[in-house]
Amino acid sequence: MCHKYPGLGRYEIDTKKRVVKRVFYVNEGLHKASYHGKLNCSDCHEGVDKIPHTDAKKVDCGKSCHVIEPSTGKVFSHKAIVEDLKKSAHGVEGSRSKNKDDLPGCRDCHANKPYQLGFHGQAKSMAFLQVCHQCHEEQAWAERFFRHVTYRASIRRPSAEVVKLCSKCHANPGIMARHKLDVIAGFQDTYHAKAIQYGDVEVANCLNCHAPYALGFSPHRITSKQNKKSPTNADNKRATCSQSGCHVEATKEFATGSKVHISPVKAARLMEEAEESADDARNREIFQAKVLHWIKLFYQILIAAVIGGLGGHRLLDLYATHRDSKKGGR
Amino acid sequence: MHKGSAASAPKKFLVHLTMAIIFILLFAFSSWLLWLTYFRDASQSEEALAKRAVSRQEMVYEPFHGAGDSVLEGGKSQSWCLKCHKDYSHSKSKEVRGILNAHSFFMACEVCHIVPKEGERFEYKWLGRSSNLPMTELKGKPGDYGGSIVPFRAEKGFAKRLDENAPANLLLDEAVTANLLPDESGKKGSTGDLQALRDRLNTEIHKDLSSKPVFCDKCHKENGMLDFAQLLYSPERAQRLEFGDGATIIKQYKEFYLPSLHDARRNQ
Amino acid sequence: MSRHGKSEKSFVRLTKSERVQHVIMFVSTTLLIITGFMLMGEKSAIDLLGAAGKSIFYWRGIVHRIAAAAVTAVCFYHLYYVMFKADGKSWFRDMLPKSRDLVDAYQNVMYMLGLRKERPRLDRFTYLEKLEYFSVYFGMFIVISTGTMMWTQSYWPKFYLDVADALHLGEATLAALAIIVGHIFAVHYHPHVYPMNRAFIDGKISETLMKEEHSLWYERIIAEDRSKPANGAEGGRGNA
Repeated sequence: MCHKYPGLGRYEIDTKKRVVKRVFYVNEGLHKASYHGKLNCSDCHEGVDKIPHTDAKKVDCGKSCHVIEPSTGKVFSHKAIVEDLKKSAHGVEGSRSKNKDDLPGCRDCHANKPYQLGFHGQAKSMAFLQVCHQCHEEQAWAERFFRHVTYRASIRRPSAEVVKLCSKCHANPGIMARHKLDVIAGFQDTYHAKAIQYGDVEVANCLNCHAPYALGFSPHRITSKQNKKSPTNADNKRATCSQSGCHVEATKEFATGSKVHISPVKAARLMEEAEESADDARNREIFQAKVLHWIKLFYQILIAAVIGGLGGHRLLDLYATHRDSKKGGR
Repeated sequence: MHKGSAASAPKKFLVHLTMAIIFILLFAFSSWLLWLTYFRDASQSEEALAKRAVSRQEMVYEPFHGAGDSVLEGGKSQSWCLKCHKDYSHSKSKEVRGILNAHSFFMACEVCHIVPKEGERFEYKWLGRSSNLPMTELKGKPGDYGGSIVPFRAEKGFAKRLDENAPANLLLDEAVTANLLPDESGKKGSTGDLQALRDRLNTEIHKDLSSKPVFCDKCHKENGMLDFAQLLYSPERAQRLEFGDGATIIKQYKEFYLPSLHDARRNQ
Repeated sequence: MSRHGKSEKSFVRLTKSERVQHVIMFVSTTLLIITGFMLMGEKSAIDLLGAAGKSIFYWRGIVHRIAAAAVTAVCFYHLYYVMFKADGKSWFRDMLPKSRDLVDAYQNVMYMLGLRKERPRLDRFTYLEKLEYFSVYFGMFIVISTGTMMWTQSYWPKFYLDVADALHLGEATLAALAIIVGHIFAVHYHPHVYPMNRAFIDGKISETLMKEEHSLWYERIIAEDRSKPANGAEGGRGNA
């Protein structure tokens, strides 16, 4: 009734003290085409009977909805994933951080998008869909089911989008400082990041190393590298790098030799901590940051000297030649 | 000999041009390399990152139920007021700010915020969002016909927009030059002359505003302030706007909806 | 105008082999610089490529490797050339730095500043040309070795690759800038040769330019020619 008006919405300060734009408009067509298109408002939203909705509760993605999960015949729920998330590095239980206020929830990563296939995928699937209709009479149901399967089978989030999504928090120095983490600013200088920027879809994005489905991990169970089972733990890194299609020949040294995307900020901070610490790994990190810094500095000085000298010489030459030609009357 | 050099003049020009273009390209490339070597790191310092992150603080959650870009861009009531107030400008009364913003998506602010004086009558027209010309029919769906309702006041035989305010425009230009417009947090510390300019601007801009804006039930009733039929609505839609849809809810709203935004500003 | 006139006498500056080496070198170096620095491009610039970016990126890697192989081959051939071929040996002998180069450099700078009346008289290769030539040895050693490491990355510890990457980038930046500021200026934009020194195409240097920039070499050749039988094309470096 009200939610069909596109302007329905407001700015509000959310629990993480961010100014958030809330759009309350529901585009019926788009919603029906989305993952949750079959659900009614009250399946997810509780306490919305009264207008204005003063008693509305926050949507709990772990609640059971009225949909039946076909493989078990039980009522469907995201509860298992919500529980996984809780135990992951992003969850209240799994996070090592003392600051539990701004851990991400479902909505920080997930928007309920319409099923969309690429142009070729669409053309193919539409022809194939006719096969389904041979047996499954209810056309809308068959189409929905088919779109669900074909969509989930394809790459749902392009690498660039994954990087952008993770960067929302992990490139924010404020948030990272609160959790004592390094910002991912160093990633943008890596070959992987450049390939992603150029539109390569096969190159590794954040999830391919930190929670690769191919090795049995899931983004919802993402863990810190300090966890023995984590794909980014030093003991497992070789396996992660040498996933099929990636650096299959990777040696242990290749995989664990240094930090993959240390940020310039952290490297600079390491430089300042020149004193030897008891931690060997840390000493190595400091040494590595220093060596790379020295190389950079060496070339900065060399380039200034060579280009300054050469450029100066050429300009002087130009001046002298000009002076000569005047003198010579040519 | 002169003849020969004249014939080669265009060729010579072409050579000079090519050499000049190559020179510019090489110069640009060298400059970029130098920037890369000496200054790129500065763009990745903690401060620079934080600065870029701040703009991300104002987050737009991708709407869960599907919205489309025109909505995400925000309400565009085609009012002068939006120069400062931006989209979704109603924020005060918690219960109704959403529905008020839904209205400012297709109505100029002054429709409600400037009440006609005794005996005065404004003329209301739909203006196309991109064309800014009067619309002749309503296409699209409720709440988004691609335009806004804008009131006009008859002045010396001409129809004049209520938000046309020459002195305020001048003051605003002055304020923009002095970088005085509110920043994202809505606050700006300023002193002395700047503060005075700001005060003058505030007074000038808001002088026509009514302390009590038009209430919902002034329009959503039989023969209300707006003539829905004249505003191109179909007879059925006009009927619904007067009696159906909101009209019943409005009775509920009336109990607590007492906007005091501009009262507060006056008193400051 | 008449200084580059057709009737003028000219001398051999670059042999055919040297010219071929140079062409392979400059084409592949240009490609290497372009395809290499594409990895340093800013995101906003990359975004302009749109959907074409993906295949451009694919070809970028391939072109970079082909050009790298070509330039490496030329470098090794050049080593062979200066070690075993007569022209190469004389080239290298004339290229070797001498204490005289320091005097030349000092005198030339003084002249350009207006503190000396005459330019120093220079031999076959000027001190700047020698500097450029041996810089290429240094630069090629760095980029070829680090490039090979990155090409065979799976077999190296990650930190060595980080070091290789830093060196490769630093050397590439230095080389690109040196080529532009030093070399391209000298052979294209210097008033004596503008719009280009044609030696890299026909291998010839005019008598005027010879006297102006390599007077010592010019005298050497004339003297050699005189001491030998009159057949200039065979014995000396000069021809008509």
